[in-house]
Amino acid sequence: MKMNFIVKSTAIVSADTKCESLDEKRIVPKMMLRRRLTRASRIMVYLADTCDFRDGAVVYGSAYGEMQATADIVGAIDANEPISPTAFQNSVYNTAPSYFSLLHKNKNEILTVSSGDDTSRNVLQTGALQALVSHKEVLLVCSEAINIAKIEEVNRCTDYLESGVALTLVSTDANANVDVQENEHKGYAPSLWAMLDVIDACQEKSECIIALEL
Amino acid sequence: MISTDKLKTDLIELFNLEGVHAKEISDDDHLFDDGLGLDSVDAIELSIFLDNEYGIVFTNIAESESVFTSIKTLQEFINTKANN
Repeated sequence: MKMNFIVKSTAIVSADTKCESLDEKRIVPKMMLRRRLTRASRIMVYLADTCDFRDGAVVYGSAYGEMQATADIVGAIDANEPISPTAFQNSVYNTAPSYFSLLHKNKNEILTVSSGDDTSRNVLQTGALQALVSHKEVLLVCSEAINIAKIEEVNRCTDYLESGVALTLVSTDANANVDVQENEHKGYAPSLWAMLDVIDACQEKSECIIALEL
Repeated sequence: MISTDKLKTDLIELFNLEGVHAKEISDDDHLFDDGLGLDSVDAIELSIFLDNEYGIVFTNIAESESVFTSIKTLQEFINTKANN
């Protein structure tokens, strides 16, 4: 079954090694919260801010999750050292949307999806269902932050060690006015491709309406 | 022996206290609440730091609570342990 959704806003960020202009001091003015943010969290709050979204349901996706925190834990185990509680706290897949919810005191539902190369495709489907049920604007974010030591020895999937994509959806009865084509997005991790397809389709539309398979 | 300035610099780095400088922190500033504003996760992080850097392991919570009161109490405790 296909349903139609208005894409209200979109955002993309990427960098070969590290996204430098994430405007953290403005977006997260409290240093005691900002100091704990992981790279994926910084990317997520930046993308949400670019979409002007603070309150509402969120669907977040990442194929690789919190790589630095995970590497810190593995490194501590390997060195037979105690595990940092901050690394432990930051190692879960929903770290980024959790900090987002703390930042904006957002008590709405947050879902986290991780399904390899299909991550953003499944985020789109989950977000579409959420928008359909809630009749409210829903934020969808996918990001990958894999800039850890020696990543070049195993990285074969992306030119961007930090990247993210976001869009907001609202359900509508109006007809779709763009056709979303599946493409390869050179440089980006395949886990982001499905949402990049939507952003490409909406690029030159003032009010973009897409049909999504549920 | 560790100086209070060195300890402050270590804590700024350990807790990623962005924009805070050692000279802005008083020796009597509290580590938690209205002082540096550290929280319970930081307390565990600090315990691990003391173990890794100075081989200090707390045997009871009451002891760590009094040691973690301020920069000065922490510095005095580290130096007392280092001298033993």
